[in-house]
Amino acid sequence: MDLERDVVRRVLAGDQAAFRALVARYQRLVAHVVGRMVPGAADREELCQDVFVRVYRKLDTFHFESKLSTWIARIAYRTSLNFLEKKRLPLIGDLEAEDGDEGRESRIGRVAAADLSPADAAEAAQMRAFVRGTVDELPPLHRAAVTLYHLEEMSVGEVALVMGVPENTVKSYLFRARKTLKEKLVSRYGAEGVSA
Amino acid sequence: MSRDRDREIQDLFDAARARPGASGSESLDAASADDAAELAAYALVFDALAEEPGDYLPADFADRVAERALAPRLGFAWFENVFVPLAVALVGLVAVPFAVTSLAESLASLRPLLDGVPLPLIAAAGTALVLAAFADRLGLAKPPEAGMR
Repeated sequence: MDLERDVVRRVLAGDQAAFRALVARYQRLVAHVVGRMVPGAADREELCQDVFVRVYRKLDTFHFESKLSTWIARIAYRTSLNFLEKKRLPLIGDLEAEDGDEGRESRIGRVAAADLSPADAAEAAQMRAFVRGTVDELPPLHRAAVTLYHLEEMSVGEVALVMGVPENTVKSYLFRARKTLKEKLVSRYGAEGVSA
Repeated sequence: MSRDRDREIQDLFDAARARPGASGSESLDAASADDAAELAAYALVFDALAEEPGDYLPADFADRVAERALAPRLGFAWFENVFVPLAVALVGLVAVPFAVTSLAESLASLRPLLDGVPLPLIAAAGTALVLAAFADRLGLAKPPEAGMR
């Protein structure tokens, strides 16, 4: 926290090198949030820039009520959300309702017909890559929750703070997102393929 | 698999995540063999979610952002935001009584034709229209904000 205070104080004092250091330190966090929430690579870099420009302009309003990373993640989340709302993209979809039991059964049927037999470590890596790719198919709010929780290793409370929703909502997003991913994985590779 | 069982398995992995050094395989050991496939699938999901996705920002991203954020922002537009409104207000203060009187007098000559029409009211409305046109000419009527981006 002392390091954060020092960086913030230096940036507010006009130290350009300190601002560059701040960007370098938190760009991974911002890239994760924006990258996972916003489809289309073309917009992502500009949105990441927007986030840091806002961080710079609003830094004097940051009073250390939370960690700096949480505050920056919140700006990244809000910026991405605003972008999605302007594009009128659905923020939350009911994948379970879309799929339903019937859909799941039919997917499992397709898996059986797919004749996939992953078995070794390389195939496990392939399955993890499949899961990462499938994350993009989740609703943006679910993507944000799993990114902050799993990738940024935030607590449920911190994720709730970033997203501005109750903790139970975050838990619900996480549960549904992971269940969806698990189902898609099993659907793709089959129960035996996954457990091999 | 029931929703409750899914939740129990996810809770197992969350608990393992909260313990430093713990791994998903411990969760596998802790559960019944009946759920082996589900547990293995969840282990893959939890591992995959923690893996770093590809980096899409350029190497000089920090420099680009700094250049943009630190670029000198346009100073406060004193002329547009202070002087022009002040000038309009002053002109208005001076001109309105004079204009109202003059217009009323001019229109009074037409009184025979406009009997019963509230001339001062019409004069005031005309003055307001002239001032609004003047303000518009000076660019005080701004287009709506273009948004955040």
